[in-house]
Amino acid sequence: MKSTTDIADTRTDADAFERDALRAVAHGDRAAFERLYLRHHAPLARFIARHTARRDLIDEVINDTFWIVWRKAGEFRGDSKVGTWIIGIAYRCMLKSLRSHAPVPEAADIDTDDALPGGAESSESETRELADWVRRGLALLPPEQRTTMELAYYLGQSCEEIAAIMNCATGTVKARMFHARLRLRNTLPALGGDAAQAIDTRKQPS
Amino acid sequence: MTPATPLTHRETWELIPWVVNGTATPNERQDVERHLRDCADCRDEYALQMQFHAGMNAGGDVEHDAQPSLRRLLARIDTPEEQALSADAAPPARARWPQWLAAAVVVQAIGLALLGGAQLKQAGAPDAGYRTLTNAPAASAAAIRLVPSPQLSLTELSQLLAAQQLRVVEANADATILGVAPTHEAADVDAIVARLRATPGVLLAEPAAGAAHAPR
Ligand SMILES: [Zn+2]
Repeated sequence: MKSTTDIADTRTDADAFERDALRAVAHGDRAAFERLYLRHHAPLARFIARHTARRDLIDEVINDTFWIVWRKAGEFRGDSKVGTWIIGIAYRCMLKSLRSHAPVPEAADIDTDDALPGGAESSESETRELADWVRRGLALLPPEQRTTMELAYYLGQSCEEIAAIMNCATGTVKARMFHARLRLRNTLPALGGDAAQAIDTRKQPS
Repeated sequence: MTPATPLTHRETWELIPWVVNGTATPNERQDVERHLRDCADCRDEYALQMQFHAGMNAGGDVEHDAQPSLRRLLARIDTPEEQALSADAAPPARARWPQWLAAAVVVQAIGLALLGGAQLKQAGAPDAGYRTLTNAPAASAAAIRLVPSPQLSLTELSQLLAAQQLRVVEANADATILGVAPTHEAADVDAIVARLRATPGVLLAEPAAGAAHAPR
């Protein structure tokens, strides 16, 4: 496991790289733009895929996001990490897109439940089971709580960064996180599976 | 920096996610670690959140080639502004909420028509159900808060409600969150909630008591 300082250094290095890239983009540097795009495409695609299964919509949201990045790179004032700035744009593009398109099944509803054979692949199947358990839990959360958890655990954003992305107070982020965790504690054991049983004996927080 | 006073249980609980995702400050992390040494409950919570963090980052890979869509974006960037604007003009926003509000009202109508007099008495007035859908209800008779999946068709929703012997008594402004009540008084709300949670197409089901009204 990485120490806190390692993680902090990694984050700082990544941001320094992205700040340089964004400055270059502001001057019309295509290669820098492509680098930024390719760095963010996979995590953003996975984040958006939790809200829609439509590949075309996922790509559309990402391209709308980077269309704005291309045009507004010069307006970035550096009061957040570049990654957080981009995620914030993507979040707004995603909300806009999901509002203007007919709802579609989530990826979670489509690609799950194809059970893996056990035995030799037990480690892989445990991993999948854990991922599935989490996905089911997240599906039970109200959208804001779910997005808060995804931004924190999937995209690694801090409390302050999530507040900036979702345009709310840090107190709101804390409250959403708090209620999300309470609800997951209450609902997840009912979902079955080994992972759920493992936490079934845990106490409720007092 | 002077050593902070030991964290309370609640403070620790609030900091745990940020320690787990690596965004807590070194001081916060130290304080949390100190508390965890002496508190089994918070250690449990820490372990659970670690597990959750791992689960969100495991599996579910979206194999998705970025290159084709990058090429489309670059082509769009190369398109002169005016053309791009007309090509990108968003289709008129097709809001799904009015459709949902309509659906909830229709479900309500079906419910009232099927159930007849007994339920009307319970609701207080013959048109109570309709009123609570359009005006803020003064006192909610909802026993369960239900968020159906937006993918659920009206027919599926009404079948789902009928199967659990439920009727819609209120809805939030955009009708994404429904307040429902059992059609017979002796119903076991917890059991119904458990069944609803196991039903495909139900995003959320919880007892309404203490949950107050739908957010927003
Ligand atoms: Zn504690």
